[in-house]
Amino acid sequence: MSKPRVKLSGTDYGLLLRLEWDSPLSQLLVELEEYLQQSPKFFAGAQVLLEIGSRPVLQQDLEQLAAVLLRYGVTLQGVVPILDGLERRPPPASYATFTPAPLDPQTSLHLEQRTVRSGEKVAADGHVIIMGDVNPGAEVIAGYNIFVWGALRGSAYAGVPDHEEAIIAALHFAPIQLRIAGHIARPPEARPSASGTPELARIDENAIVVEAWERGRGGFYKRG
Amino acid sequence: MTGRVITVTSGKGGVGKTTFSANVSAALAELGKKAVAVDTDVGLRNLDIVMGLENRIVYDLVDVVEGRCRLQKAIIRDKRIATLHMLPAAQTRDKSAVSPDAMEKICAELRSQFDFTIIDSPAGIESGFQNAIAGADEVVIVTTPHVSAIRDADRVIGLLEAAEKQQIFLVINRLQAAMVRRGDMLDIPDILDILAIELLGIIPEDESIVVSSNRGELAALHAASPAGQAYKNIARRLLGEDAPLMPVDEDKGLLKWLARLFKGRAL
Repeated sequence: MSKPRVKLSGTDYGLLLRLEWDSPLSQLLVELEEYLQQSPKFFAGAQVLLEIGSRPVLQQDLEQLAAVLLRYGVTLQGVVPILDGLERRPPPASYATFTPAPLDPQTSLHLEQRTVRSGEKVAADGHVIIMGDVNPGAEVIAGYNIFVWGALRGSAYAGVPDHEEAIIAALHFAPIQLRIAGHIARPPEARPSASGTPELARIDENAIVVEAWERGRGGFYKRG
Repeated sequence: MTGRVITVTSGKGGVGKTTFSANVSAALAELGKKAVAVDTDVGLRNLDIVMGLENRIVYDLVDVVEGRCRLQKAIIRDKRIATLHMLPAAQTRDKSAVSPDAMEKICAELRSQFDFTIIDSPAGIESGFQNAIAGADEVVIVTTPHVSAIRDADRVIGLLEAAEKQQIFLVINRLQAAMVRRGDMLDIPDILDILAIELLGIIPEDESIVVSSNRGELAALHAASPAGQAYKNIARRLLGEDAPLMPVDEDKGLLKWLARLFKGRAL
């Protein structure tokens, strides 16, 4: 692959997080997650400054970054302009800081408007909506529900780690594997290709069941 | 001159990238375009063999990158068609001898001298792939109607989209008419449904390709070869002409089936 898009480096005043801002945020979030996964114990309890240069950054983007960091016990202390060459000096006095409010994953929504292709991963703490297809070999991971406004042909893991009320829904439902909370399911070998109507998977009596999405039943799925 | 740089890639090996690169370059050259085929598979070079130019290599891509010779000197001119050229890979080095930056520079130079630069890439998605796509304006994905080849093609399309390559085309290689009719082969609509990129052409399975590749003869220069005809059609489609996606041959059944398939589709 190309050069890393996520880099954490030590400076005199703490850890500095640098991102390749030209990349899509979803990609940065995934790579940040992978970066932190490499040594979760090392980062736990740390505080980081985020380098943003002079570009405008959306509050919701910052919140998403902070949420990923927080999952590994890392606090986003604030944001700073470019610090190239300043590593061994104190930070400029005028830098702006920002402390994001803790995010409520149950109400946060991650929207992805593209086809998620083989080898790609979309992950978020809250609900995930994909406007496009999820192809075989792709993964979608959500703390709560997953909606695919398109064809689900890859793998979908909802309710991670233990939200049993989560559902997975798609217009064309043909996943390779499904997981909701701790339950794993794969479509039976004999299952004919997707029915052509929207379907959804949920947990019913300790097993994942797949059924047609029925109009007017939306409220039924609002449990827990 | 501002030519087009087109990289041919697939993810999976053995799907026909090199044969495609050689033959489409030849077909473009025969249509009067100045074309160069570039082998970026450093360490496993093959394009020269398929094009029958192996015994004429003096300098190669790595010699150019490392400054041992000028680009002009490494490019071999084909004796059959005056407008056809090839830039060979080094055989005694590996992928690390070339970098994406170096490839971008070489592509810029080729773009100013050739109408078409066709870059044959190695299998895989590692550094060799990154080198091959670095200077590309357009990318052609070659796949066969096999689930594993299509899965790899999808992975590569994802990487190309992340690298912000806008123009990505699909070529389906080695389609077996008889198997399609029996329903034993993956459907073309299914392939297009998953990969969701523009179809540039379909190449039928053609035993004569094995023979011509082994002899270093180019099928695209022989009227009798169905695959050769398909390569010619692809070259014409690259030039914006309205050539058929699949060559006309004696197989009327398949033709009818394809006509049904593409009815109403904007292709």
